[in-house]
Amino acid sequence: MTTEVQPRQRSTEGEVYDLGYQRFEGERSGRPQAIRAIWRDSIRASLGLGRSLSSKLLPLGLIVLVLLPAVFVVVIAGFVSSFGGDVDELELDGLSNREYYEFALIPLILYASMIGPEMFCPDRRSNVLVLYFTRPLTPMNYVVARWLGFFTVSTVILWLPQLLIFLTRSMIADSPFDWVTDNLEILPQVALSGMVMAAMLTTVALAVSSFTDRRPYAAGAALGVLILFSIVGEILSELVSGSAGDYLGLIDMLQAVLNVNDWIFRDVQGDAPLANWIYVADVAAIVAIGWVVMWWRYRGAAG
Amino acid sequence: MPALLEAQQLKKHYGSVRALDGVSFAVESGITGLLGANGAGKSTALKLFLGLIGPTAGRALFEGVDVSEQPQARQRIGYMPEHDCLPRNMDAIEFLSYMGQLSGLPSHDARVRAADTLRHVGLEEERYRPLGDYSTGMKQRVKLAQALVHDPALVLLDEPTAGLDPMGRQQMLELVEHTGREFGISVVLSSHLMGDVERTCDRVIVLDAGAVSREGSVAGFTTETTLLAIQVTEGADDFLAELGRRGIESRIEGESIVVENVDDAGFDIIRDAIVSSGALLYSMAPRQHSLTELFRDDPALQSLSESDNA
Amino acid sequence: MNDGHPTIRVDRASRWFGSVVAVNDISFEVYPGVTGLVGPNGAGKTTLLRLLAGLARPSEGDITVLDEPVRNNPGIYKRLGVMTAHEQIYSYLTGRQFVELAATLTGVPDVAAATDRAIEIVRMTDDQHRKLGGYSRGMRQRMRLAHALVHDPEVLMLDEPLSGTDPRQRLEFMDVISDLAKQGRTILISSHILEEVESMADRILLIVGGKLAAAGDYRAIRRRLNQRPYLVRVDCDAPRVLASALASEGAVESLTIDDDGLRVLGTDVRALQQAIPVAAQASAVRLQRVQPLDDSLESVFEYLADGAGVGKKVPR
Repeated sequence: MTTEVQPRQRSTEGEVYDLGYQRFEGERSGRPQAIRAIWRDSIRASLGLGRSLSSKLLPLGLIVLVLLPAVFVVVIAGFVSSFGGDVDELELDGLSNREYYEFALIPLILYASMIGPEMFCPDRRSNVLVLYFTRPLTPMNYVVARWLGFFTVSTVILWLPQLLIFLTRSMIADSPFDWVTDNLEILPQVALSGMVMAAMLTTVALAVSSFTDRRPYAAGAALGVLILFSIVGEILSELVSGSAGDYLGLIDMLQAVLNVNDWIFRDVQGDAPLANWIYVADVAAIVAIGWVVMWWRYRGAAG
Repeated sequence: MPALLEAQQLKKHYGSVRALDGVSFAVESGITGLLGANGAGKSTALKLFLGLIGPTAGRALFEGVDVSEQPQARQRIGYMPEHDCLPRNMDAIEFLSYMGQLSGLPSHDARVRAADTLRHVGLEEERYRPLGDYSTGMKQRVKLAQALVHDPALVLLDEPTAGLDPMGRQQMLELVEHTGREFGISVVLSSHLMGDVERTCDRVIVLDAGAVSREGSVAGFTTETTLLAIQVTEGADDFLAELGRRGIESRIEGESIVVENVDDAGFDIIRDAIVSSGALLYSMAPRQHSLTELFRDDPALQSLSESDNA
Repeated sequence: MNDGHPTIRVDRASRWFGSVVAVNDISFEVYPGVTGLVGPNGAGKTTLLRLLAGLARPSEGDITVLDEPVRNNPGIYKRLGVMTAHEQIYSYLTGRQFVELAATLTGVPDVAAATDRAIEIVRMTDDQHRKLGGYSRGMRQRMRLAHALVHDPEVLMLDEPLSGTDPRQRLEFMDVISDLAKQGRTILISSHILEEVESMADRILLIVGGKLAAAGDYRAIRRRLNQRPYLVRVDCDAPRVLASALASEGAVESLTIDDDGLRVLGTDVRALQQAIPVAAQASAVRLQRVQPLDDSLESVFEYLADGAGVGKKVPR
């Protein structure tokens, strides 16, 4: 017996779609959207996202470097406490939220000075700024958006090791829950000190890198500025006696921000020679000077 | 309704250099060519309209708005700079979508329009390659695409064919025509090449030493003259002799044999002279004025073009 | 047409860089007058010019300029002027010093007079004492031309001399070139701007992919492209009458009549050029305009460079 084979049903309809140019009828959100886009691009650029593999390696390596001291002390602490030892007797510098930034200072400034130039240098070098400033943006919008982008990334990166330490300390406590409720005030302190540190490092790295379009030069210069001022500040405060020396020591940006950090953590036995508000003002002034520099470098960038 | 672009007594001085010295002109929709010698003020005019620099005096308006006072207006203008301006390590789609957002498009729309725009400029297959690997011609097309991605009302193109080979130039000029005629985006094309303007533009504005020296429709500057130019590929001498025998005055200009004020009888005589001389007729057409004459210091020709545009 | 003795002879020249063949087995001759060197980017024009100027050695083949070998022959530069595409220019020199330098190096007897003359030719007399670094691109290009021709060479090779110049400078430049050609010099000039090559050059050399794709008068080249359709616009007082007269011509492939007149399509260019006036006369039609469409150097270039013409042996 044979069954009749039905021809497969064929569509008799056909359509031609218009792939021609389409006008955009939607809402344009202008400057706020542009600033948001630069902010997002800054975050992606500082992490190497959407870039080639080789441009991901440097940020990744530096972030690991920033985290490494925390991982190191956490592992030791975990090891000691699992054998029933007393962690506090070890006097691990890094295992304190207050002391961490001082402990990991070198990786921190390496990270900021090597990644920070990623914000301004490539745009200047490839001449792309003209495309920014022929859009609904002013040069200052651009600077603000770039600063915020790098500040955001830096803040998160500065918070991560602090949270790791916080968690570890709670874990090795006799009663983790009680430890957390007793020390809850640390969290806002960590949040604030991370932001202050990030603001200072972002401003210095960006302000210095606004002078060149070559990233390696910018990185070297930012590193140089941070370290040089630190050394000179220390020498001056040693050489010049009395409070004059202490005031001259304010050019040590790193020490100043660490003093603010200590103050945020309500360090009772603080050994800073000057009043805390002076260090707060010092850091604020450093950030303000950085902003003036960036404004000056970019004020005529559109023409 | 205000003109698309309008310069009102626009002045821009750099120290003692008068890049623009009180120019007034208007650009309507369509494709407008901006011609001029180096340093005639073309780039300065574009920068003023974009609001990148402020004028020394006068006003530069886009749809009646001074862009330097309202940068927001730039979300409806596209600009293609003359020089290299592309980041090396981004791919085309990512870059275009970013540029769309910078012009105020929501992220999703920017992404969709980035892909569409790359298709329109013929780069859809290369959209995931980093821009640093692109050839000159491809870079020029990406530069055009970034000026179109946010669907502006107007694009300003600064020397879009610079550095391109003949085929690249041809493709770019086709894209410029598409932009103006099919996409419905008005174009201001600044160029050194009169051929670019002759081929693509409706109107032309000529800047010279900071002032508008000439302005009018391209058709008006390229009208036909009363000279008939004849080119034959073989038998030119016999043809010339035959013309003379039949009482037609002619002269040789370059490749052509030129006859003035040919009437009906004249056309017949010329035809017969070609046939009896056995010459091969390559072309016979009235000579046209060309934009080139705008830059020849030949007052006779200039007054001709002027009266055509009156 | 190829009157006189060739000034440049290239015999089976090739040049390769590793596995890249930039110039591939090229032979041609260049005569006095202007010869345009055209081709897509990367076709090998610059390499070829460098070979011709003796700045690079051919991997194979022979090149002579004015019957002398061009390599290892410094004496040739007294008779040859070269302007390369890349700007190697000493920005601390004044324009005049730059031209004087060339005059001195080529052993011109009266350096000052030669320099005056060269600067006058490129119309830079007013700006000759300014530093090269302060010139606009177009001014630098003109000084580089003066530098190339200060010793009054018989042969000039110019690589993209018009880039960066504005419309007026281009016109002046083209006038200078045609004046020099009228004096019987040989000028080889590469350019991307085909309408300018068309108006300057008597002959063209078209390089595609390192090969010589066409050489000669471009209209003559066009006539040899027998596979490429040839479309002519014909305006006359009786298009229908002329159309029916042409319909029986073997060379005519199609005829269309629209508001703009009659369009005649065929591939045998020579036969068409002959047939149109003959048919018009025979049917008493008044020809007012005969214009080949799509027949500029640009469209010929596109046809050949696109590969359509490459590989097809053009009859000689």
